Amino acid sequence: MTLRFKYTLLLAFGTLATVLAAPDVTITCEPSLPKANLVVNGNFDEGLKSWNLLPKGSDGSQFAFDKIDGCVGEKCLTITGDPDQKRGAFQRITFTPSVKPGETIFLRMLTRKAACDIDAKNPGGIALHAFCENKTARYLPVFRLTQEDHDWTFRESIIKLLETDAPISALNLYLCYYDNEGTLSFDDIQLYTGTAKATLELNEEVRKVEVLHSVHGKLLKEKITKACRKELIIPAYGSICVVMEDASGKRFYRHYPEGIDANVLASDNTIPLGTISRNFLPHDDITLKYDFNTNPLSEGKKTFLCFKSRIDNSIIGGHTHICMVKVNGTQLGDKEMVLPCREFTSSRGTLYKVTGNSGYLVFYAPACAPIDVENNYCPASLDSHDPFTFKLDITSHVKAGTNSIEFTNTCRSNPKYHPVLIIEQPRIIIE
Amino acid sequence: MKHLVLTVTTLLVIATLQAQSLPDIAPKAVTPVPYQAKLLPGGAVEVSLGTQTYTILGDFSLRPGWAKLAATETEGFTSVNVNGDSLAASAPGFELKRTLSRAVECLVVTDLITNTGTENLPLMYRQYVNLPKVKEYRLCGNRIYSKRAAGTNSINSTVMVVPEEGGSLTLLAVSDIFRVHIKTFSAKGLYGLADEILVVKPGATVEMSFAIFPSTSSDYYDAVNAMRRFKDVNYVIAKGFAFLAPYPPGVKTFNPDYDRIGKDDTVEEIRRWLDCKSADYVGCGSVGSLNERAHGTAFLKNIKTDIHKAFHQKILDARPTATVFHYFHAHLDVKADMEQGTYDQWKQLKPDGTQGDYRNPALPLFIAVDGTNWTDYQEKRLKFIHEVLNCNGIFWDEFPYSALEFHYGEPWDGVTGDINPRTHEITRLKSSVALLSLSWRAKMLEWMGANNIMLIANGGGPYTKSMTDIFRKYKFIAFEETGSLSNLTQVHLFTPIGLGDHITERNELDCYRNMLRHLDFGCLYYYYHQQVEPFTHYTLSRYMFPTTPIELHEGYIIAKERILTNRSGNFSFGGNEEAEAHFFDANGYEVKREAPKFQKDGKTYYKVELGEYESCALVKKEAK
Repeated sequence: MTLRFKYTLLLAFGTLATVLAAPDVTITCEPSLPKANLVVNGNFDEGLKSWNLLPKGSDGSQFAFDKIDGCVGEKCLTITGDPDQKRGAFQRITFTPSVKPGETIFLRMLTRKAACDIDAKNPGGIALHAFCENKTARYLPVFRLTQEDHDWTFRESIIKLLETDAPISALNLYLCYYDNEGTLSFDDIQLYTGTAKATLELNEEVRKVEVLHSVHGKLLKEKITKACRKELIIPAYGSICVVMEDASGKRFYRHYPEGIDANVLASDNTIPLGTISRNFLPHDDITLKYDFNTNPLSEGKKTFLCFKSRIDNSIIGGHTHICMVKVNGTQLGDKEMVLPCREFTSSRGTLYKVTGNSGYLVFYAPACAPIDVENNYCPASLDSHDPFTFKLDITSHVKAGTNSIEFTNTCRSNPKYHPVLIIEQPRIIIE
Repeated sequence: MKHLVLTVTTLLVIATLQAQSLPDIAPKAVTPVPYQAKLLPGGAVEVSLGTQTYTILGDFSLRPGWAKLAATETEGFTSVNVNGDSLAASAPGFELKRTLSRAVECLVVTDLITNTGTENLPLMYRQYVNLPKVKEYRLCGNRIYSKRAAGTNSINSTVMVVPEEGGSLTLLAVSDIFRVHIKTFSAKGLYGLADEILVVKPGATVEMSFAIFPSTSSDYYDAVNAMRRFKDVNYVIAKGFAFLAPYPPGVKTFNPDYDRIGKDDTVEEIRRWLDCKSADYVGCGSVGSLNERAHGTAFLKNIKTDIHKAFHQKILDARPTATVFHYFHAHLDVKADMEQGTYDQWKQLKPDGTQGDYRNPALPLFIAVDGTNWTDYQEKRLKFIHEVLNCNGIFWDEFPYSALEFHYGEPWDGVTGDINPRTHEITRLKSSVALLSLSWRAKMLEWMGANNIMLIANGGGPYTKSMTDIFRKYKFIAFEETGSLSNLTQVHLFTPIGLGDHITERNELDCYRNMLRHLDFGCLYYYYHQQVEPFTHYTLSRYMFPTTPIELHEGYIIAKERILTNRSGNFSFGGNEEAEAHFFDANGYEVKREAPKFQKDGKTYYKVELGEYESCALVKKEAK
């Protein structure tokens, strides 16, 4: 073997080793996640088992468990409203140990409302009646349902106990549909509390590590320059994504636990961007970056960037242009717009353009779900009534090799307002 | 020869047939609307036109409950006497005198409400129709798609309903307090105008008047034009407008190859720039990159007088027909620069007693009440702009009020308060900033008029009849910003001008395309900020002014001097006027194209055929 050949061989292997040795992290957790759902039969696959009916003595005829398109599993709970009755169901949940001051209760569920009376005093909703160790009881703050109809929409509440609150030993979770018409459906009810200790073991040197949480956003951002082990307290619900950035700026992802709040799966025509389904861009950390490589099979096809976007808010309340999207450094605009639309007329007759100089128009909302026409902010002229789902044709911007996508929250600094931009399920679709 | 005659005849027939496939558009003859109107035994107003009959019901809040004027039986009034077109009624706490007066195209209802008690009287006031099925309806000019809605706009203070059978009914708030307090509403088949924050002092009488426009037409713009004639707001808009400030070099635009034009540019460069925008009203203002501040007491401390004076002269050298304006705002100061404590008495207060601001504590709000040291200072600013900076124009931003509409403290405007919707009691008194500042702003406008200073106001225009009268007297104008294009409905009942859209315009093509979008709302276009560059050619704005509107429509404006359109049609001025046609292509360039002329029904029509994003200005020859 000649010396030249030996050096060439070594260089080739070295290069190959560099390509193959991507940064990676081992994640362990105590207790391991996901934890058990504290709500028993939260998806109603066992009918009313573990639930109690309201009003007391109800025969259950006002409740149905048929599958409705969009529900999780085979069943969901549907309550038929009565303008003269307070109908609902409840379940008692006991905490062992009690939930202590500083700790969090996390509630998540799907709801759906149809043919309701929009002028009814009670739009339907949830109540959490907490029982404390000191023998007092109180209602915990939870999300409100919209006054008008809505299709399956997932809702969450994060309730953090104050340091002055008494520990909570149990609570009644109420699903209420009082004095109304039509139907209110519930599915996939989850309640968790507590934290877990995650241990991250990084196998080699990286430029930066971030830990993102699917409900709380960024938990950690550090410059780490060598292989190390790091312990982190994380919520015992949702999931985390560890993002490692190597010396060249390329990003690698590791998700835990698998399948929980995860981005869409990769397939022949789908490239998920990151592993976590929900990404937060608070005002003071404004850019989310991804890379993706073009596939030779995508030649001759169109490339789309797809995602959902909203500004985190407890109710649907207006919109503003703060979602700037760039592909390989070029800001996207009207030309790339496929969904939702270039402009729309709202229910109250006002006209809006979706593309602005500061980025795309994003709605303040608690979830990315179509808005009923009875809501003032509904994009009434858009058939789907869904202003949250974006599909952008980026074919002309994509090049062979590595491409970059950047999402930026362009809201200008203001001491009073800090809109948190949320990007959900970002992915590349090849069609 | 026969063949030639046959060919020419055939071509003429084809042209006529083609012309006939386009709509004929001419100003409609204004004739009295033959409506019938009367006061019903229950005090409600009945209006009939053709086969349509409408009953306008009235609700007046009591404590508790309501006094209602209905078709036959009243409710809550202790006495009601109807005598022809007049009504006198009594209820616990107030007396009502109602009169009807008939105008050419509408019926005006005037309610005089007198507080007969010894304390402030909270009075929620609603006038509405009950129509279970309508084809469509609008609140404040916007078409509403939901079953219930509310809207508020003190210029387009209207409710319009189109019954399924056709025709339309529009209600318009007329009196000053009603317009300022206006809430339009729809719910459960009821459509109406309301004032839910009215407070009447003991012994005082308040006028609440509104107009009812019945029509056989379902077209929104037909209603708009009838209301414009009633309000007498079809006066001349003389010139086009653009902002132009003395930026130093290096202030960026959306185009990386261009800085904002400014103080170091030559007269020739400024001339070319203004020519492209065809702007003779030029709006100057404070420049942040010169460390200037636009607002309050900070303005005079930081203004670079010599720079502005020199720049204004350059503008006049570049375009001698120009009027130079300077920015003015009456309600804001800059916290970092302001004289602390001097104007504390005139802070605009929020319900919690703290001072309001422009959604940013760096810009606190003040109320402009006549005879105070705050307004004394504002007058000093206005005089400085006119006498020192040599401006003959004031651009008054956020004319009636700024970020917060109400002031929760002294002084009280005497007519406004929060009323509990259940108990109907006063929760707290508050003041409309528009009403508190009205007398001072009116005084300033009279001063401007007397000194030949032109006013352009932002915010759509005057909120009251009294202010509208002053605007009309001096031909002052107002525009509305178009971050949402449908904001243009707010100027439908005043000077129909929209400012360019600062949120989406990035180049001169965007500006031209927005001119066409403004025409979709029957409105004119004024250029906005200097972030957009370059401007390389003149466009439709060259032929937009002067404009004295006759009719606004979706897609076109018919004016005394010209017709501006973004859609095809056979257009006429209504007589046999000679006009020249200026066509603009999809990119905003003027192109040579004919608008064949033909006679029909005694009128001269011009056939205008346009493709997508094209436009045309038909300019009467004597208007040049």
